[in-house]
Amino acid sequence: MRFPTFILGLAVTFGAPWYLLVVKPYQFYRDLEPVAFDEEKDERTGMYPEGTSGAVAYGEMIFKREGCVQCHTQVIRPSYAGMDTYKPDFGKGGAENKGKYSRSSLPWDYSASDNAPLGFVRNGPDLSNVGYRRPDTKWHHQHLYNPRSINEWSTMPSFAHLYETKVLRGKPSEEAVAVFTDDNGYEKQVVPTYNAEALVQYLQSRKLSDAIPASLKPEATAAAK
Amino acid sequence: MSDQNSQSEDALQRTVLDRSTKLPVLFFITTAVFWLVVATILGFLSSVKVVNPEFMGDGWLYWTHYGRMQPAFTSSLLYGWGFNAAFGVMIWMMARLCRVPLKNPWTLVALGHVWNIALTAGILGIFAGHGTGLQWLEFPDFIWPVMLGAFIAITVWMVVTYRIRQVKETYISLWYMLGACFWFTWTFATANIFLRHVEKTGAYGAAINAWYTGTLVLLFFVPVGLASLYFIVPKITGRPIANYQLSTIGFWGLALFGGWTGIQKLMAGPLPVWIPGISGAATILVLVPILAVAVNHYRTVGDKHSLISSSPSLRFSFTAGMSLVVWGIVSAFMATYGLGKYTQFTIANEGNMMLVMYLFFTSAMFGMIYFMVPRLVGTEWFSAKLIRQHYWFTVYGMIGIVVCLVGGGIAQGASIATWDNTAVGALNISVGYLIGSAACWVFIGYSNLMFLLHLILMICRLGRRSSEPTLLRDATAHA
Ligand code: HEC
Repeated sequence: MRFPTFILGLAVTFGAPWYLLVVKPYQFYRDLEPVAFDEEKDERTGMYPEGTSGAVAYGEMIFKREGCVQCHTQVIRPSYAGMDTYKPDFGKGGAENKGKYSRSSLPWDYSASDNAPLGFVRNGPDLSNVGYRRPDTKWHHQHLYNPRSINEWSTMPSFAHLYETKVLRGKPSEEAVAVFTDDNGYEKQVVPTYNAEALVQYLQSRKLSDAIPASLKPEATAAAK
Repeated sequence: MSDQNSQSEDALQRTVLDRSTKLPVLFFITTAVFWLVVATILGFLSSVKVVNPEFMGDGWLYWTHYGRMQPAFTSSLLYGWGFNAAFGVMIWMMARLCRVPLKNPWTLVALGHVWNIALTAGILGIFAGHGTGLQWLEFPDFIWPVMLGAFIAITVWMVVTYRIRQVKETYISLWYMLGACFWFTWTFATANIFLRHVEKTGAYGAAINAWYTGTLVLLFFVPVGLASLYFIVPKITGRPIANYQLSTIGFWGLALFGGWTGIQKLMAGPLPVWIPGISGAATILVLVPILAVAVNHYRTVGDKHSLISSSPSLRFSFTAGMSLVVWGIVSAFMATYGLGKYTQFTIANEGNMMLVMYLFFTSAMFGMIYFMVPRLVGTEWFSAKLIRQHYWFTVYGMIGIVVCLVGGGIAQGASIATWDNTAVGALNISVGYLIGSAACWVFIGYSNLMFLLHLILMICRLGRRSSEPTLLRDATAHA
């Protein structure tokens, strides 16, 4: 086989999947438009998804940088691939939601993100809906600062380096995760840095299985076909 | 008489070729094995940390937490060990198979430095908290153009050598090597541009990332590994490749299906169903070229089985060939919805990656290194015992890791697939397996350290001075 023919063979066999699996679908995702809620059917107005704030986007970057994605996914799979939609610690949490259905993920859920961290391994729980399960800012800071202070059995690393120690004057700040007296007798408090605050805002915004316009529901898309 | 003449002429020419490639090949091989030792240590630490985050995690060592350790480990294994070994092996085989002595060896060494300095900066960047959270592309953004540049420069050298080759035949190994260079350039550039420099990939970024992991394995590491098997098997057995047609099917089959794989890892994710579906189908179809190659090698070895137990190179290559088949079958199962929904998002994927990266690719590279180094330095391997130890520790250690991770992954997945099970449940189930894999890393670490020492002995010309190669067993006793 001559060299140009060989290279052409490689280019054709690789070019096909490259175009069909990378370029074409990417264009589809890039051009996803938010979908409007229908006042009659959905009993609300607005768009899905709504935009996000800068702090949330920054939090997502911290999330990626710290490698949270090595242990946490953000995908709820439909019921043909497991029980994700019914798991209490993947859904909205709380006793009253036990066994309740939370819908599986759609492309629109991620369109606010430049490059969504869907994750590879579930060493910890799925975080798609952690915003519902853990609304409390203080809980998140306590957990990130020392996960084992909440669950003794947790294997999540401590992210204490996202917190800083400051001299305490007067009352400790609302978000302080620890207060102590150092060797010289000064009172100190440990408070979140901006990185930790953004990260927690990002976690609180993870409400991927929230309400969607009727036109996006599987029944509707099936009927349209 | 004339036959003898041409034989000694051949031998003379091989010496000239080996002398020309000595410097860069030894440079790449030693660097690679050094990275392998680094990767082993990081792999051990990361497998401990995933069970016990407080191990070496307090105070100023916070930056070694699992979220940064795991990417540092995979990067050093893939780009440190994998690529350096691949460069060394490819440069040497290219010169040998084209019968073209290498010119400007220092240029290649310089390019090797560029690659390795960029890599080191990338890994330090991950530890410093500038990772990207992309699988196998965790380096900070400024690293990849440097790495790609070095890679392309080395590729240019390969292509030039190929174009001025002094032999009429085109060996199948040459195809695999040229293919690997071609595919890696394309897929690496695509993945980096789309994932780092293009806006709004949304959920599809994860799919492009998964595609990259699939193509990196099937269209870079697998071809380089197969190129070396196609070199070693006929060399050691002294027989030509059994079937030309099977070789062609093996190569073009891989070219045809390899580029479609990877996205099955995101089956049932927020993607159109046909995309992971087609990826899964391609992963199953890849078994066709893999089996074609396996049958071809099996028939080439023919009745010379006893050589597998005596020749270190053939033994490692044989292990590599078997592992590739096992990997193909495991991947095919994991690509179906039936089993895949249990292994998806679990440590089984890590186990499967170790199966192909270590038991297949690394074994193939070990086989080549045991063959090349004595010819480059002019002395034989110091001790058969060390080689034997290296072999058994590698095989048992890695089988242990793969079984722990794949088995643990299935258990973890089955637990996740129970609706009322929470994080504690899945965790308790996988912890035992993870501890098992951490224990196996100790064996791997020990054997790789010994291998590095053995290699350094050889490079310092402290090997055995003998005209007989170091064999694991007396070949005649078993023939
Ligand atoms: C070594 C793997 C690992 C890494 C890395 C990791 N986590 Fe976790 N995470 C876990 C485990 C295990 C749990 C469950 C136990 C617990 O609640 O601590 C968990 C739980 C959580 C929870 C509570 C979820 C719930 O439903 O209660 C949140 C929130 C969380 N992680 C966020 C993060 C963030 C943010 C990062 C990165 C800064 C991160 N995790 C990194 C393993 C990990």
